[in-house]
Amino acid sequence: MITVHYMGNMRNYTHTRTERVELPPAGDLDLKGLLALLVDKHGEEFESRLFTVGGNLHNQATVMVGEADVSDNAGAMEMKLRPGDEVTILTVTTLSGGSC
Amino acid sequence: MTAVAKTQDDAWVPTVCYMCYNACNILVHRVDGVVVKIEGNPDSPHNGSRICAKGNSALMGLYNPYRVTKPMKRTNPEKGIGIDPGWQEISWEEALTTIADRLRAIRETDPRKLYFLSFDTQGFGTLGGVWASAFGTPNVWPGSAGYFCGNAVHPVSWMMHGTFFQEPDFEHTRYCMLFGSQHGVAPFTKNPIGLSARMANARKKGMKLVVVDPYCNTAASKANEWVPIRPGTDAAMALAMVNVILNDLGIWDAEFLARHTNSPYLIDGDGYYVRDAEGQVLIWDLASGAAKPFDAEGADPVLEGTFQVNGASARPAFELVKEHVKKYTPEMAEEITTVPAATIRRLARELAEAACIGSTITLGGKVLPYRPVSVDWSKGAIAHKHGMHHGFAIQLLNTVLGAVDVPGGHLGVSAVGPTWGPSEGPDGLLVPAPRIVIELLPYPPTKPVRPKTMDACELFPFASYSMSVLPAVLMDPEKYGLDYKIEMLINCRNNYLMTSVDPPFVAEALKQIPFIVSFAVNMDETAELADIVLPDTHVLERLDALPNRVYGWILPGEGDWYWTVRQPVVDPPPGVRHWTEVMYDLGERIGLREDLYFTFNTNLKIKDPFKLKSDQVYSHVEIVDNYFKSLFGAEHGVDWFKENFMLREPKKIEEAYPRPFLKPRVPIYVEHVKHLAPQLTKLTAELGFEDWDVSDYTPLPDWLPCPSYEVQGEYDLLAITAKQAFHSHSYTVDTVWLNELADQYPHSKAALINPATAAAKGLRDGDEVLIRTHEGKEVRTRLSLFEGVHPEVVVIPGLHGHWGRDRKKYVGDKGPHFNSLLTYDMRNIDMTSTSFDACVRVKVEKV
Repeated sequence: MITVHYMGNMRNYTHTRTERVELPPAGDLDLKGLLALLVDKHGEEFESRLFTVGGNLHNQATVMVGEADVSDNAGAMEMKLRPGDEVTILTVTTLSGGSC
Repeated sequence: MTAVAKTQDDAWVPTVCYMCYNACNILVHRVDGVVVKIEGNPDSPHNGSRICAKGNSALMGLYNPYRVTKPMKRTNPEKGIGIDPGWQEISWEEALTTIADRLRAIRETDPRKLYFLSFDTQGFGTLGGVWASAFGTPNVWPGSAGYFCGNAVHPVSWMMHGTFFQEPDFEHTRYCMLFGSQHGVAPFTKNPIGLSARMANARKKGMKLVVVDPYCNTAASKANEWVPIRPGTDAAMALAMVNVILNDLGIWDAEFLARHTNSPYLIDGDGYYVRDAEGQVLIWDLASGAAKPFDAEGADPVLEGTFQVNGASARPAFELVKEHVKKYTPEMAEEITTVPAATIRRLARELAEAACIGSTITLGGKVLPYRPVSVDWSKGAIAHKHGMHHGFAIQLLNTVLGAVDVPGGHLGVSAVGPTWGPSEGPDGLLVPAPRIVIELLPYPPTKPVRPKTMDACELFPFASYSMSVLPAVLMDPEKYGLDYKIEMLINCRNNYLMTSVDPPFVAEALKQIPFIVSFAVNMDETAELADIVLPDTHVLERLDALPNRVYGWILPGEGDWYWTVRQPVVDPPPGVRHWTEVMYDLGERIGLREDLYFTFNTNLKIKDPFKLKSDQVYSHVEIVDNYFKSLFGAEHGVDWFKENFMLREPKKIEEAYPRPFLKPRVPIYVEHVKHLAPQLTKLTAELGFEDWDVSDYTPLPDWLPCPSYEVQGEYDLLAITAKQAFHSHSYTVDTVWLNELADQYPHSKAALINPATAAAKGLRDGDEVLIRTHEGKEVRTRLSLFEGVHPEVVVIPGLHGHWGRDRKKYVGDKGPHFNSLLTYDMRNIDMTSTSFDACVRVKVEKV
């Protein structure tokens, strides 16, 4: 099982703070696959907050696996998830702090 | 003999001004706890020893006896312009308990019902976005009123540079054109003080400056040439110039266009990219005589011609541009713009020849393209119904000449930095670095979906923001597909009512919100609609992290990176608190700490061991300290910044002029909007809109007339506004010195009109006049004659005419309020950028 936490505005699309996602039998699920499952479940409005047209991660969205923010990491979508992983998804709307 | 008291405290404190948008670095002289003088900071690369009248006069606001110093609650339930709120002083405890109770209830039911509005853009002023996100509402806008700000500047800049702002490279440019940009003067675009110095130095070195504007503003008065233009027609002039450059002169930067733009991308007969079976966009390779993917190794892409691909004709995007602009002959543009065709031809030739296409310059040991021409634009050009088209049309001049992010050209601000840079997105186009992106991106766009937010940004996927739509949605959320209403507004450092258009309409929209909290240094027009007003700190009392944000408030091009602090020079009056601290306090009261700290850590990318821990409570100072240390190392905390003020680091040449080093391309042909238009049509039809206008979603820019052009007859003049160097937004009117300055300046608190126009109407300098729009809006003011006004135009500078009850007590601001002439209506909003049309047909009559 993987636990997915939703923060902030994302909860308006999922109507839950946390949900658990069962790994497929083969146990072979990457982050891209997980997010696709969540998009299937929560619909296109959720998708529009998570991805841009063309499939890039939305600039207002942050995805964390455990403590690590993988949003800027090339190749993060191919990251294999393991049982017990915790994934957090949040959006910070419009002008935010940035890091510099 | 009377003893003279020895001075105990005599210090010059380095900090950052906030009397406008520009974050000038200042030194504040404090004697015995009293601020007595403010000067520019000679060690600053930002503005040096120069500051403006606004900065000099900041201490007048600090010691304004009418400052708000106590929380107040409204006792009169009736709200509206001119209605006495019946303020009653209350304790902080009562104020915060009342607010927290409401916040808690909203968060438990539907957090979207909170709207957070602020124009506190610098440093931790951006807390609004983090706080609101932790709370769970998408309804936050830490920006201006957003009607005619950078609406159609930022989207173009994000796409063409990967940045929020853009500026000429005054260090190397030899020919600069400004369209509707009071560059180096305007109180809030970019950095007028630093840039005015750079611009002056460039002029000394021989740079030619041409200012295209209906009003001979200060920048124009310093230019080689002022080109008066009819408002809202800039795109026509720019496209005519592009036509002359491409089709008459045959000048373009082929290398730049082929390698750094989507010019060679093949376009089919319907206007879409031609793709291979894998979906890759194709170009035509000259060497092989065949179509290849745009990123094929060793390909030699062609820019012109017609080719057969996949059994159909296809042409490079550049060819379409060349063909598209042919209809914009200088003669046609003259009719639209009033700029003589000969002038358009001459300026086009001068610009193209000055571009020195093919030349190089060696900087930092690197040989770079040298394109010493830059065409910049700002609000004046884009505050129109078809603002986005104006922006893209003007930018085309830079693009075809290859003057984008190279020495001498048009520069994005901080596209590439020490730890960030753009990436390659879909179809090889540029995607800005996430850490400098502060708003919605036009590319890759957000998919249009049924709105969830109160500004309906979901219906404007090409815009950076859609704040101008907020009042319409507040008035009728259901119409926009929303299933909730806003129950509470928190408003900070933002006089929304005054900086929006059509105050009576916007006031009605705000009245739809049952409970409004407004932070205020001085009581303003928006605060008068609030239910609770909380006293906020003055700029000289604040601690803000990094007000010179690299994404906007730092000079582009060569030089240093610099990070600064805004630090308190004096303590605030008893009972006055920085709004940021108050929001932390409210967060504690409603149990937000864990989510707030998590969002802080994540959004600000705070690293261990400086991450905020939810089992502790941090003060504002401690949070800033952790943030600094996380960014710059444990030795660079708040105390280091207070003492040293600025951390500097030299820019690499790849950071100053990134384009030659970047692989992602920028668009000359904005193909993706063709996909957005039908999606929007379908979506808005489902929402019940029968006539949602998507006609502006075209890949190439055009000139399209503003609604005001449809009005004829007695409303024979176009009213526009303009900036004044000594006033900013709406809040500098609180400064008595600046108001005295305005009283002595003939172009302030007046309507400016050309003497010939006045004579034809029998009007004289100093006449009291009524300016009335065809929709019945009117302002009364003094007439000031000035030859530097286009004969068809009335210019109303600044943002005067404050009606706030408290403000009347001490500023007596009797000038005209331009925004009151504008009628709020969706038909006046650019459906791509959400820019509000700020030219309006008027007649002028002597009272």
